[in-house]
Amino acid sequence: MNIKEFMAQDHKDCDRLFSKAENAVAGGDWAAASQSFNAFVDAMERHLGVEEEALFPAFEQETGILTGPTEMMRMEHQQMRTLFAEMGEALQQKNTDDYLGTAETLLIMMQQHNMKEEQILYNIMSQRLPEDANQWLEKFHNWEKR
Amino acid sequence: MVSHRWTPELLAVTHFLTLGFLAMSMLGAMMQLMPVLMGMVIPRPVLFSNLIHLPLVLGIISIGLAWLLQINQLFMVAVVLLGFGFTAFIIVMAQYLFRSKNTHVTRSMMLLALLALLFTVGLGLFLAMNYSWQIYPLARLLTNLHLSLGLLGWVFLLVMSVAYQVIPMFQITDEYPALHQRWMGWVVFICLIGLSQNYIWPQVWLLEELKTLSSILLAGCLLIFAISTIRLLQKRRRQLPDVTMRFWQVAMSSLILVTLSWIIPTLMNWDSPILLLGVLMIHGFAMTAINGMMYKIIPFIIWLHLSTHNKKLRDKGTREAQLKVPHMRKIISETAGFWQFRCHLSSLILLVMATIWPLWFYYPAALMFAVAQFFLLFNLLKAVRFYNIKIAEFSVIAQTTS
Repeated sequence: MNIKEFMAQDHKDCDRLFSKAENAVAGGDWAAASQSFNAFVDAMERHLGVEEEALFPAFEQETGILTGPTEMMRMEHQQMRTLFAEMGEALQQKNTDDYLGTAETLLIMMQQHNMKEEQILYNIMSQRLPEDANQWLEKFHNWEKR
Repeated sequence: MVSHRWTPELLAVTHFLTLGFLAMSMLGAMMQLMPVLMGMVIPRPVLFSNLIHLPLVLGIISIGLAWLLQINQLFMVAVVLLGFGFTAFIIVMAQYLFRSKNTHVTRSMMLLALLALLFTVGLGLFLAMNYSWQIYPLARLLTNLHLSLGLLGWVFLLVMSVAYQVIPMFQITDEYPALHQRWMGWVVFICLIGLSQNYIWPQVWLLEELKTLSSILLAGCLLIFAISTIRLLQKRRRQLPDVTMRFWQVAMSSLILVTLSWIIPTLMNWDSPILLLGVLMIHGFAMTAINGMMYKIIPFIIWLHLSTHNKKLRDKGTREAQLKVPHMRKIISETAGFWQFRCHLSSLILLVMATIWPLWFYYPAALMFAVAQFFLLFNLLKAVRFYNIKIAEFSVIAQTTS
């Protein structure tokens, strides 16, 4: 499994948690929604954290590009975090419309972000980053344990 | 107007729809997708879009009026304007696609779609010039090639390449099968080449057989794509009713119907209503898919622009906390989208009936079509108005807090 494969797989795993939470809100099951939403945000924060703290710096060091794609990706991560916060707020207030509307916005934001990563950035990373993919996979799982 | 395919009014209406609605939306969407999918940033994007948009708008009006008012000189005006707009677009997009590092099949499919657009436009310009000068007496034979390349090449290939990306991602479904993604675009394109030989050299031996073989293969591709999409959507992980998904389902059902109404009468030598294929392909398939995607793309782009503007104001230090940017459903509500969808579907059903029983359904179909399109325009204009109001509000808050 190379960097692209396991990071893209993690995108898919996060998507499943996202739709689980969304389905629960639509069905009015707020307890299940809250549980799935927390699991989703945890999974997302791990993914974003691994990128921001390990993958992006390695990419920047290897290529010398500091203000290019990784800067854009970090900015989009912040936009996603704002939406997580707004979804959490809607969940607390049990406001179905606001949750679903914000979730839809996040979905498009997140997916267009994932497209850029999976179709361009991860490809470059898989080719250019010096350590082999297993070491990255290990870093990814260790991040989870912290 | 519907007595036969060549009435000037029908040609004008068809081109208002294919150029005015389909091409405009598809060109805009491709420009949006360049940075997102291909990692290619278009420098001075507003200037570039204006350079393409303005000649196209004027060109579309000219060609429509040329038919409606029977002014042959206007065809020449349209040829210049449309020729410039499309050529500039194709050259710029093709060079970005060639330079892109994207490895997804969408890239090669977009290039094939652009190539089909190039041939469609080239043939279209030639046919339009013929109205003024009568260069080539048999030009009308090329009309079938012009519309096959336009609808099955440019439109179908682009919609398919975009569907490979947006259906799995936005509806959270499985991916299209790898073999399907890898080969479908190429098979469709090769079939179109096979099909076109017979239009160019109608009398040549064996080309009739090649045309039949290509048509069968092409029909197979259309059916496989439509059925795969419907099946993916059935197994999607999101359970919410989603207006864009409804549009996709109707578009794919239309694609199945159009394929069957084309291939069965062709193979059996039956007559079918002459306008049925056009209605199902242009309105049922292409306009429906695009209309549905608009409900995702337009609110998102508005949200993104508001959110970026909001961040800029905060970064300038004009206020401490970030204001809340309204989410997508506040920009275009699901209810408004669903009602417009119902009107759109009704107009499609009435239009299909009008191709079979024009005397009864012609006027109701036209009326319903107008209602559905006005409703869409209303929803989109409301979203733009919402954007302008929010931008003004943000600026006022920034001024009062600075």
